[in-house]
Amino acid sequence: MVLSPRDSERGRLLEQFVRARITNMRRIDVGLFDFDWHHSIYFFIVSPDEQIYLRYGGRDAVSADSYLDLDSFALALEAGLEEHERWRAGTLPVSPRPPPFFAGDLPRLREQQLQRGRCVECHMISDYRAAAREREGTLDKRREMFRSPDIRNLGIHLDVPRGLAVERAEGAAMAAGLLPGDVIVNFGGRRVLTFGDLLHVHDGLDRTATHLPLTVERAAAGLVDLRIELPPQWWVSDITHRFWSIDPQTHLTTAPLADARKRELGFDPEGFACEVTRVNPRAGVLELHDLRPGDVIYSVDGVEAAPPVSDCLVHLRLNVSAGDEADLGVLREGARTEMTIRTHRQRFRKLGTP
Amino acid sequence: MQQHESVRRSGAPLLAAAGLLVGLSVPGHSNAAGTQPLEDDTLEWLSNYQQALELAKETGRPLLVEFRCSP
Repeated sequence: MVLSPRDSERGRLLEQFVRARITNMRRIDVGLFDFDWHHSIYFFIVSPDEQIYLRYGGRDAVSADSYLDLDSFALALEAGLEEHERWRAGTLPVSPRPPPFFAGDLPRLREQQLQRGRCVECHMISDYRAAAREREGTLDKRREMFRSPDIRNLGIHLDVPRGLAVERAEGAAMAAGLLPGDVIVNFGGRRVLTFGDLLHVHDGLDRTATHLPLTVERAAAGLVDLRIELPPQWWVSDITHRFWSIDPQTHLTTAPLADARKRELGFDPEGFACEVTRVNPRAGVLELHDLRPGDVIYSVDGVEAAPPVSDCLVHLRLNVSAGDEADLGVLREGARTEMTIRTHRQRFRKLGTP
Repeated sequence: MQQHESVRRSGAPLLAAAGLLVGLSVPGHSNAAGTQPLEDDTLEWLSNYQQALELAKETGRPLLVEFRCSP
């Protein structure tokens, strides 16, 4: 099976497009083609004057193609052609073009990659830009490290081959009234045609947002407006599939303590005390710390609570720079003690430090 | 941190079709003409964005741009 077969329904759709496959971002205006660069593959459908009709892409921590399949890809192609007809008819609202931005605008990327004739891969843009912002002191890790939050944190489960059709709803989405079979047409106040569109809007939400409006098309009811009350930490997702130099690695897995357990141990129920559930052997190889499964981390650099964060490691990742140390308050075998943890800064898999 | 199960999906996988899964390679490589000749049964893709944009302007067709992490 291939992506673009000549003699097939999908091929006939694809033949109606000019097709470009880009593997080097060197001359691409990433101000316009702005996306979550940790995706393995990502599509845009645009007009001849570079109006973006839609995006197709998206993943989660489990798999690079959790939200990709050939059925929803064909739906996106059809939607792109419909948008193109609107553009030709002059009925498509014109979006202002974002300011241009190129890989060469990042000085270290320019020196370490471009000037050495190296290929600029998508994920490099992301990490070099984040590292530059970290040096400038303008990095917002909640938004830039925890990118593309998992919509399942809201309780939205999609029927992926059917695009934005809801398979089931739970949690906050169910409480908002989302139903199986609903098709999401507007998300966060923006018209969305694909999961890629939806995830782009979701990624762009202010991390302090408390609610999210959406509109669904419901059989026999037409358009229905809903409002999701966002749960605490809705933006925290598993980002282990990403390669960040800005993420302070600890090679630990932790689980937040239940409120009752926190009270039992004398901790603030609003605090982020958590139990170490697993220590990756790399922690020992890198001599990062001496934590063990069963240890309870109740403070990071003297801080025990930082609502809405409910996990000590999330607090550490947000507040400690990769490669720096932090002082932890640890409960081990019933006794409180202090330990120093050293974090690891990942180096880029290609030469150079972003 | 919330852990989720795999997304349940019944459609044909796209990454495998795109040759982007481990163990699968994308057939063909870029050539001097700026196109990527894939297998005989696949459509041609341009590898130069500016060329593709010019062609979209000339023909009035919409432009499908694919960004992928390996050639």
